[in-house]
Amino acid sequence: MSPALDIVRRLEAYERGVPQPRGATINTPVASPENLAALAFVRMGGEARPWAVGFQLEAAEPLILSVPDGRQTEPIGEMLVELAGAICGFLGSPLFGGSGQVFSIGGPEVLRQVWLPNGAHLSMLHTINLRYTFARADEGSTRTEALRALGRACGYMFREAGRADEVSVIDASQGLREAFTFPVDDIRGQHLGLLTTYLRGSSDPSSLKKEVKIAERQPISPTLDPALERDELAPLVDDYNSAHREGDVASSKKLGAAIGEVLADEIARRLSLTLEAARILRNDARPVNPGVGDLVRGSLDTKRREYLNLEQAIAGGENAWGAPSAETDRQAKSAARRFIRMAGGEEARTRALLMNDREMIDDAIAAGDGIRGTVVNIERRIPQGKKRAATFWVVEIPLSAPFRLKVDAELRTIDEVPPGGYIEAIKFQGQARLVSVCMNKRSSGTPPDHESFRGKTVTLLPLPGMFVESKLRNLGREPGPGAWATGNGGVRPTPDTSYDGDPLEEIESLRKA
Amino acid sequence: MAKVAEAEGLTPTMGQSPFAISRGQVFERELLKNDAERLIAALVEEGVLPKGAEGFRDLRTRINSGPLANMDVAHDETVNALRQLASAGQRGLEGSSPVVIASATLKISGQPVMLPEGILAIDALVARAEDATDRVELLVGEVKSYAYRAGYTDTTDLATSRAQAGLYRYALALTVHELGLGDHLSVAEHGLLVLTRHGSNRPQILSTEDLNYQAARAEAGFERLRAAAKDLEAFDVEDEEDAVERIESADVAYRPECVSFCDRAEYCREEAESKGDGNVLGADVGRFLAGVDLNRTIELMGGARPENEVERDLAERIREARGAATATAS
Repeated sequence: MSPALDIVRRLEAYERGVPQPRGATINTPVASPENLAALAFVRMGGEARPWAVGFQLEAAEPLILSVPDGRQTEPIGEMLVELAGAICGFLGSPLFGGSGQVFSIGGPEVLRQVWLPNGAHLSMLHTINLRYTFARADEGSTRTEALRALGRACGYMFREAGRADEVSVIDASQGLREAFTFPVDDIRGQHLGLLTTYLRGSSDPSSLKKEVKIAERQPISPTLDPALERDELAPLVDDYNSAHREGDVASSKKLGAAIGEVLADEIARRLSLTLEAARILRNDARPVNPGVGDLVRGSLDTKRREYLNLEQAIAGGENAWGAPSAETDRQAKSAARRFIRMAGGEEARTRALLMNDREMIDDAIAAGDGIRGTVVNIERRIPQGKKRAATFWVVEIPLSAPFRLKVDAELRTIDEVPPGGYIEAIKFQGQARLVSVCMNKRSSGTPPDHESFRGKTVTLLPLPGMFVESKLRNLGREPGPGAWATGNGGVRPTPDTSYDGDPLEEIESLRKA
Repeated sequence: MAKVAEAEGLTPTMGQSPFAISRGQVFERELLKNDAERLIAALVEEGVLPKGAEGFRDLRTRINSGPLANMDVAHDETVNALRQLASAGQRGLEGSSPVVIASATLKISGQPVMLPEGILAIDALVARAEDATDRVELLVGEVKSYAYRAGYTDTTDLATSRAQAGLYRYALALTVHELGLGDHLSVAEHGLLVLTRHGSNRPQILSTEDLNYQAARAEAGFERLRAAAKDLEAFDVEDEEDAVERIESADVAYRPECVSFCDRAEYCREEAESKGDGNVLGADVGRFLAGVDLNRTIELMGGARPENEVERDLAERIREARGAATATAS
């Protein structure tokens, strides 16, 4: 979406006082209740590891776990062992009773999703990945194995969440922002409580504003409200530690439970809002973009390759040291492949969704990433450097319309007949831009040189994702530049360090010259 | 600002977690224990200090587990330490001079009206020989207890730490200049962030943090504060009630990022909204409206006739944005 259009949509939402649907379709698929789980964390101020965790299948009661003091390594480990069972089992790990296959209730392959409240909870996945994937304490014990498995699962989910074209791990607030334009700025728009309250709506705009304000005061990230920590939790934790030190089991148990209650409320709120976000998208009246099928297939494929295959191997007796590390890619080739895939995620997502959403197409045109104009001329001639004649459309678009395409850009028509071609030339005439498009893509319907196209308004969009596909194809094949880094041969270039001049003097002499 | 927020009926939420404060204190104590053994070893390992470097001076106050009575004493001791470093020169770093000073305390002169004298304490001031000169180079070190997670370290945490270190670098350069020690001491453009390694209490040093921009920003910020203070009518800054009233009656310039650090953000946002400030929908909206009131913008969107050149331009831009998306969709 162009920045100006994004602003105008926010102004429209502000005028109406309620969020406005964004896009003609829903672009985030929502799994069925038995295949959807929410995951939320809370951590003690200054600590990296979780103090409390919550995991809830939409169709079941939540599993909420906490420790009395969020600084104590051992109890946190015990808590995470229990979480490992829930998460790894849900993801289908054979180490936790799963089949090791992509989950398949109700069909050949079914998507299982983990929803988190917002991006801050995603970074907790990274922390667990860093800390536990290669846990060494108590080598060989069931506990250590469970923690490592949790580290691997969190690593897989964290990496997956960073890929724009995935749909297995969902940031709930981002999912809502992609489906609606809210009458707030981007920073407030991160707050899941604010977003869901807006979407719940109210018949009275002023009372809705008040409700939003109240919801916004409740923290959603893993960090707790400092006042809650100071006034409620800190005294309880101090008393718990004193009782624990003195061996007063009854008191420490009671105080631990009191701490657990406070934390459980915090976790429960985060889980509830996350599941509410999923339900809002599931129940939206707009149709689901048919292109999400490609995203689901891609996510299932990645899960098999990047998570389940390794879990299968470990279940079969292989050691777990080959798991992807949060600290190194180990191999330049796999790092390059992963980097290109991640970098191309946005393109792949656009490719899957764009053609099925009229509003996304309008947004692309508004941003200049497409052509919408009138076919003012149709001719057949031999393109430069080719032997066979092809049809050329000259499409006229107003000069004032945004335009960011270049010569040679491959295009596709939104009606698919005729399919498309590439930009041969761009010329100007008065207040118009004339784009000559070679319509060379094969068509089984009306040929592009049919006179019925003359005078017709057409929409042509570039084919996104081709850059990534060709890069991935070539990676590992061609000994071109950078081949030494991806293991395809070639010699790593040695930097020329023979220069012994004074760069400042040289610059000065160039300046004088 | 918490006091002002309370006076306006808001509940302050920007305070620091008591657990986070104690975590930071524990980490710092561990770093500085046994003459900063752990910190100096990490600095040597990172190549900030040469092998065999030693010498620690603890200028922390008693309230922060140090030996000194108060901040004024710490400031005097800091000045003495800087003078000693300057007079002993690089040779001093091999024996008599400290290579790490904890809580080096600096003062930035204020303004009689609004701005009291600023007192700053640098967590770890590192001294080493400057390359190719005979001066002693000083590096500002900021200690934080959050974990280093390479490229995934929280960017807001990093930005805040750099801003703080940049402010210290500005204050240190000012102090060195005011003491006339510039011929013997230099202040490095780069500073250090001392974070924790994930899953442990061991330090992770980020040694090449460019503080130029943040130092320049701090300098500009102080200039603006001083200029603003000059225009104010004199009042007693110790009189809390009066100070709160004055802040309440002052104009505010709400920005979306205020939400992340100021207890008064909610009040200021309501004020801004009542005045039709587009910033309530984002800084980009504020810029887009070019000073036109939000309510007036809504009228223009509904087809009202522009009354001046700015409104005409805004209406045209709105029409273009909407038109590009829909008008050509026929």
